[in-house]
Amino acid sequence: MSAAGKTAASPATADVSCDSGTCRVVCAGDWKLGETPDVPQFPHTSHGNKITYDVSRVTSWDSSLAVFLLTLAGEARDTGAIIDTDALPKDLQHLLALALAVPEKETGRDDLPKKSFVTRTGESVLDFLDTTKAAITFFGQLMISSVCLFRGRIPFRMREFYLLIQETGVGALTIVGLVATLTGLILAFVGSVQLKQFGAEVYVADLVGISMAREMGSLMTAIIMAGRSGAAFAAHIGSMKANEEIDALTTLGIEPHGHLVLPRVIALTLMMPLLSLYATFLGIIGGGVISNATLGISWSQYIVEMQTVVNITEISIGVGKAFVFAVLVAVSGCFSGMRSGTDAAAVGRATTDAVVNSIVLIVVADSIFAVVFSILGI
Amino acid sequence: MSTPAITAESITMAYGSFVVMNDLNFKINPGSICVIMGGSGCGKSTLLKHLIGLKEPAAGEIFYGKESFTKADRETRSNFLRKIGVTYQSGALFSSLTLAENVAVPLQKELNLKPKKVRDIASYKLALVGLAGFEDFYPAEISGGMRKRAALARAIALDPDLLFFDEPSAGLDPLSSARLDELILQLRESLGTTVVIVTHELESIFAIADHCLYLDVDEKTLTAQGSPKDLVENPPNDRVYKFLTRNGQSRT
Ligand SMILES: Nc1ncnc2c1ncn2[C@@H]1O[C@H](COP(=O)(O)OP(=O)(O)OP(=O)(O)O)[C@@H](O)[C@H]1O
Ligand SMILES: [Mg+2]
Repeated sequence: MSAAGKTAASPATADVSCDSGTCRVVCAGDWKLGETPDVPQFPHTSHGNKITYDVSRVTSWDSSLAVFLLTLAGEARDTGAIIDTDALPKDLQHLLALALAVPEKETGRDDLPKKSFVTRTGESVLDFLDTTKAAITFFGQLMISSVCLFRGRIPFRMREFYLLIQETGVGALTIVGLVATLTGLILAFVGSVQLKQFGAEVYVADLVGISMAREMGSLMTAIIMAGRSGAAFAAHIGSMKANEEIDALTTLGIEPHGHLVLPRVIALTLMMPLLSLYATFLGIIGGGVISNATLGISWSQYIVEMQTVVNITEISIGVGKAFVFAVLVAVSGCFSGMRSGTDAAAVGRATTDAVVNSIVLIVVADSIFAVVFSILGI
Repeated sequence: MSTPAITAESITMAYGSFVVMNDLNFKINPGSICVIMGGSGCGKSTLLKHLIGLKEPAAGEIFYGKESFTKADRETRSNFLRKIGVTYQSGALFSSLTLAENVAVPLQKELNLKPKKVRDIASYKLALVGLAGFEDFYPAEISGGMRKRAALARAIALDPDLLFFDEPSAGLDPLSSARLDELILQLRESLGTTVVIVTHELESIFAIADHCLYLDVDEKTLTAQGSPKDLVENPPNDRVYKFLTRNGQSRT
C-alpha cells in the first residue's frame, strides 16, 4: 500500500486491494470531517465477495470514518458483497450497528427527482385545477358562513372586528395617502409636459381627475392593501394553522371560516372603498399642487375644470372597483393562509402566494372592468 | 357489556398515496383510559385526528357509541364534538388570547354565562393544572410545558365525556407529569370521562392505562392491544414487549 500511515499527522487515506474474492480496505492517517478521501471504486466486487477492513494505522478518527465505512457498506451491499466488520475497533462497530439498526424507510420519496417533463407538466396542471377547485369551494363556504352570520347563527366577535378595522383601515392611512399624493403629482407632471405642447395646460385637471377617480385611486389602494393586509391575513392564518390552532377551533365547534375569514373579508371590504375615496382625493390635491406650481393654473381654475369631468359616476366606478378588489385581496389572503402547510417556510410561501395572486387578480379584474365599461359606454 | 364509547372498524389512514396505517380495529369502553402507543412517526397523532374528525379515514368507519361518526352529517358531528375535549401535540393555544380567555372560548361558545362566572371557571381549570395566577399571561409568555397544561385546562373546560390528549406529558418534569396522571384519574373518577391518550411515558402507561393500543410502524397496523400488564406478561409479539420494557432493560 502506498504512503499510508507513516507519520502521526498524515492525511486520511483509503486503499482497496482485491485478490481471489476478498477485498481489503486499508484506512490510515488522521480522519477528520472535511478532509476525507473519496470512496474508492471496487475493482471486481461481485456477488459473494468478502470485504474486510484494516484500520490499524488510523491515528485518529471522528464521524468521517463512520460515514466513509457506511457509504462503502452501502455500495458493497448493492453489489451483493459480504462485509466483515470484526476487525474494526469496538466503539466504531457500535456506531455502525446503531446507524444500521433502523432500516431505511420506504417513504416513496426517493423517486421524486426522476419525473419526466411531461409528468411534471401534467402534475402542475392537475395542481392548478385542484387549487382552482379549492378556491371555488372556499368561496362557497364563505358565502354559506356569511348567510349564517346574517341569520345570527355565528357569534360575531366585535372586539376582534374593531382591531381588524383599525389595522386594515386607519393603519393604512399614511402609506395610502403618501402613494396616492405622489401618483397625483406624477400624473400631473407627465400630463403637463404633453399638454403644454398644445397649449391645453388646463386639461391637466381632467387628466388627473379622471385617472384618479376611475383607475388609480382604487388600483393603488388595492395594490398597497394586497401587500399590507393580504399578506398579514395569510401569515396570521398560516401560522395559526402551523400551530394547530385551526384544528383546535374546528374541534371546539367554531367554524374557521366564520371566525377568521369572514371578519377579515368584511373589514377589508368596508375599509377599502373608503381608503380609495381618500386616495382619489389626495391624488387630485397632489395634481393640483403641480398644476399650480409648474403650469400656473390657479386652484379655482383647477377645481372648476375638474368638476366638468369628475362626477358621481366616475367616483362610483372607483368605489365599486375598490369594493371588488377588497374582496379579491381578502379572500386570496385568507385562502392562501388556510391552504398553507404547517412549517415556517410554508407560511412564507403562503404569504408570497397571497400577495402575488391578489395583484394578478386585481389587474385581471381591472381589465375586465375596462372592457365592460367601454362596451356599456360609461 | 355496555356499548363502547368509540369503535374503529378497519380504519385505513393515508396522506395522499402514503398509507400510514392499515386495517385498525379496536373498541374503547366508556370510562376507560386508553393509551395509543408506538414508535415515533408511526401515526399516533394521525389516528387521533381521525378519531375527532379532523381527517377522514381512507377506508373503514368510526363509531361514537352506536352511531357512525364517519358517515354523520355536520350537525350530528358537531353534537358529538360538543362532548369532547382535545389537546394537540403542539398545544394549539390561541396566541392572540390570554390563558384565561383561551379556556373561556369553549365556555362562551356553549354556555350563556356572565363574564365573571366564565372567568371563575377558567381560573379554576387553570388552577387544576397548576397554573393558578397565570390567567392574564399570553401563550408566548409561558414555557412549553406550561402551554401544554394550559391547553389541557381548555380541553377540560366543559367537563367533556371524552378526552383526547396528544402527548400531554411530553416536555413536563416528572412531578408535573405525575400530577397530570393524578388529574386524569381524578377526572375519570368524578365525571366518568373516557380518556384517549397518546403517550410514550412508560410510567404513565403503567400508572393509568386500562387498555393499550400498540401501533407498529413496520407492520403498519395495530399489532397488540390489552392492558399494559397483560401485554408485558403475555406479549403477543416481541416488539410490544420491547417497547413496554425499554428494549428489555427494565421493569419486572
Ligand atoms: N401533513 C402530512 N402530510 C404527509 N405526511 C404526513 C403528514 N403528517 C404526518 N405525516 C406522516 O404520517 C406519519 C405519522 O405521523 P404522526 O404525526 O401521526 O406520527 P406520530 O405517531 O404522532 O409521531 P410522534 O410520536 O413523533 O408524534 C409520519 O410518517 C409522517 O411522515
Ligand atoms: Mg404525534
